[in-house]
Amino acid sequence: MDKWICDVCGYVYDPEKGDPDNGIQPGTAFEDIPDDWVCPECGAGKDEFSKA
Amino acid sequence: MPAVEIKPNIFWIGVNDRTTDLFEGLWPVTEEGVSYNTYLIDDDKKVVIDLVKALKTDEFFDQIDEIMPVSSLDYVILNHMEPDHTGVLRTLKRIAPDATIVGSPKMKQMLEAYYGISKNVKIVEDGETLSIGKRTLQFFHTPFVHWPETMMTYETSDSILFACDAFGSYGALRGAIFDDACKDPDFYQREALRYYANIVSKFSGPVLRAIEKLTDVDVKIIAPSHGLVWRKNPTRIVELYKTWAEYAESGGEPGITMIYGSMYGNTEEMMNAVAQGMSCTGIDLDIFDVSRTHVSYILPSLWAKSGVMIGAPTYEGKLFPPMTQVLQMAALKRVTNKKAAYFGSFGWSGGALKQLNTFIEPIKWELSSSMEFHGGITKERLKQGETFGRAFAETVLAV
Repeated sequence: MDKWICDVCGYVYDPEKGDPDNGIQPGTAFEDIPDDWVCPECGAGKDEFSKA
Repeated sequence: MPAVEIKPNIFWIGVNDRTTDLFEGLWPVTEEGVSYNTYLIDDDKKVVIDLVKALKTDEFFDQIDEIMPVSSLDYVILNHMEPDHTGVLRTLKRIAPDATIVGSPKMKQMLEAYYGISKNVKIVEDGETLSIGKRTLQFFHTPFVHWPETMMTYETSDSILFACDAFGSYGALRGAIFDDACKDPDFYQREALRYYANIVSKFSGPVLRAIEKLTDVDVKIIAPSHGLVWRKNPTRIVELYKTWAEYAESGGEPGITMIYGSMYGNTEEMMNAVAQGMSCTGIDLDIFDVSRTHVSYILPSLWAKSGVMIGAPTYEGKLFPPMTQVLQMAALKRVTNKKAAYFGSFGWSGGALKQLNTFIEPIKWELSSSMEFHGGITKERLKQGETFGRAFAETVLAV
């Protein structure tokens, strides 16, 4: 599974860790995150992320 | 510039910078200048909100000394850690070692990283208040407007929002610090857009979220860290910032920025024909030679207009390098969702268009048409260029 990076703030989404604070379980691929999820650092939408 | 009392015992004590040529080491301000606005509150507690670049240090401390001894400061509120607002911090700490530095949790980490300061720091949470005597301050975290630690400080009785980089502009102050005393509002609006497109545009989402967060806060004066203080019409600058932030999604107003570069004049000659075609439709059009114009002045046009016409030759199998630089900066600044078209000359093989596509796809510039031509200009080609320009302008206007 790929890591994805936020183009706005540089936050890296690591699928192994997920984003449990916002309901994304560890092991969730970026593609499987719901569309309304936003960057936990800066609030950018999913479409503002690029493959790391 | 001497201190200006903006409300009883609240003073503007900023400095004008007319000697820095490149703001952030990147953006030309030689002719326009820039101000670093700082504010002082003389209450039971003595408070300074944001500082200045390590420049004109004596002038800055003299301004505080006019009102109170620098050593008497109780609180130094840092809305933002960027060194144009914190550069004199070490000097200040030498004069006022007991002053408490106030900021967001992220600010505390950055304070240690930039200045090695970890003592006498007070972290304030989002929405927290701080009584300083007769007045009360409230803090709003506004991350990524412009760095992660950014917050705004709100004075509750006179409803003043100390917004730091948000709502700022380039342009040194010409004596008058208030919007209602400014005789050249067009200059500051133009420089506010250039500042937005150079410094803030990437963070348009966070800007909209900050404005949303402050919707129910009664703001009578907007006191940013750069440019005019807005007291007659504080909503004006907020509306402008909101409009500009929304361009990230909408792509901007109908209009075209034509950016072009040329080695021997073939692409340039075609550019004039394309411009003629576009102008026939009456569309709003800006034209920039990318080899000769600093990208700082191109970005505001790119940001605000929904169409981009790109004219550049193939250079050694790739896109003309000055154009590459402009497009890379546009990508970094998240200039997104545009309608685009391309034309350019090539000598033996193309290649510019292929590379151009790799730059503009990630930022969602939709290439509606392109016209690569081999070698020089002919009458027929100029005719094609005119038609090509007109058709693109009609596409932009049709949206």
